[in-house]
Amino acid sequence: MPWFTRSDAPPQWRLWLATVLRLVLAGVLAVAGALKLPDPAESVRAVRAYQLLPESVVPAVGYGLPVLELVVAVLLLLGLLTRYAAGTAALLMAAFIFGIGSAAARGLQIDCGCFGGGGAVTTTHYTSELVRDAALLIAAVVLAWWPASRFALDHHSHEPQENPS
Amino acid sequence: MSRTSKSPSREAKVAAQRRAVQVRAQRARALKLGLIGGLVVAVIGIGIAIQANRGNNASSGTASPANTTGAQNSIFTVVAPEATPTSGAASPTSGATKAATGVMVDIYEDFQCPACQDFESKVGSTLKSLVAQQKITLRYHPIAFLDRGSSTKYSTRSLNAAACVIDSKPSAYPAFHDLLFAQQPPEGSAGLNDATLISLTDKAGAPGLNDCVRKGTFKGWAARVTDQASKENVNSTPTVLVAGQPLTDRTPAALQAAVQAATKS
Repeated sequence: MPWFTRSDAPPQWRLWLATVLRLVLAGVLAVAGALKLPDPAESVRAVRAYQLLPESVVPAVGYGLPVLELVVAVLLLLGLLTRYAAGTAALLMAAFIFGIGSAAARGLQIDCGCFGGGGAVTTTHYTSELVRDAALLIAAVVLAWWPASRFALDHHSHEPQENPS
Repeated sequence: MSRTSKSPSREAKVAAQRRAVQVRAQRARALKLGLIGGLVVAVIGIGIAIQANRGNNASSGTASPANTTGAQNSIFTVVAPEATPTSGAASPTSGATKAATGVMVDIYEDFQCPACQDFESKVGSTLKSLVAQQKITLRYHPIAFLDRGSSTKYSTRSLNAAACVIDSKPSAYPAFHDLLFAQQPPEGSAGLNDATLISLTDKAGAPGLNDCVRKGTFKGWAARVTDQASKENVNSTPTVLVAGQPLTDRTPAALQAAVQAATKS
């Protein structure tokens, strides 16, 4: 067998699964980022409403989060640096789950600010938000594990490739 | 002899070539990864800088309305009028320069907030009578965080108009405040236009605010006081504090009871 072929090329179903996960995560993150982007001050207030981070880092997180979400979304859409992008998405989801879970546990009456908005709310939706983010977390972890997919710019696609020694 | 001696060296050569190709490929991949990674980091950095700049610009207008107190000049105080209103800048109902009497009641409201409209329609008259009886000092913290609720940032525009009234004729603020809630536009609409806001300021008794309303003189202040409320952990409107304690049951009876309890203590 030539040295440049891999015997463990991923099966077709896994390539397609990864492709679907990429697009789903990219779609959700793109919408979340795009809806937060127009109002940076609101985004900062939404972060502050969780009362988890010290005031010195609240603005940076509020300004940076929508940008990070959009960049990760673009990378996932293109299939570029898929493993890193999916890993970042997984970290984001874990952070969101922690934040929302903590807000629920402390009895805070806040909007998660997941898709813009944030702060004021009369009825909270913590359960549905947690279920959604948990599903997205699983998707991101699976994708980070098996990043090879169709229609991706990444090198490590389904093509036979050199064996990383 | 020649065959056996040559063969290993040729294989060694081929192996070395293969390794060289492999190393080159790995370097190329590392370079590509580094370039893309660097580009991604740069894009994120630039994006954050742009967002921070936009966020700061929103509150850059430095003007704050007169007759306000507290952090970021976010508070407008109403106390009982002790005498009949006289003409002039210093109005009896403007409490900014007066000593507070009774229990402190703080109200955080947004003119675009339906729950605030509901609260005002049910409890507004009780608040007024408590002020008149000198049982409470009413401190309004008007904020604007519902710009999403209209297509014209009505939340901020209405708060700016309110600031114009507070600045020029504080005695007209309670009337203007009531008019804004009575004519609150539905969520998702375009909100009241500037001409309507100006006609309401006239109606409330604060004429001559055409420029202030249209230019958005106090829009920067509106952004600052909204952030200030967020820093005071106010994340929903209406938030009503009686002597610093949140009033969760926002009914006239519960308000009366809370004020009475705070008066005794």
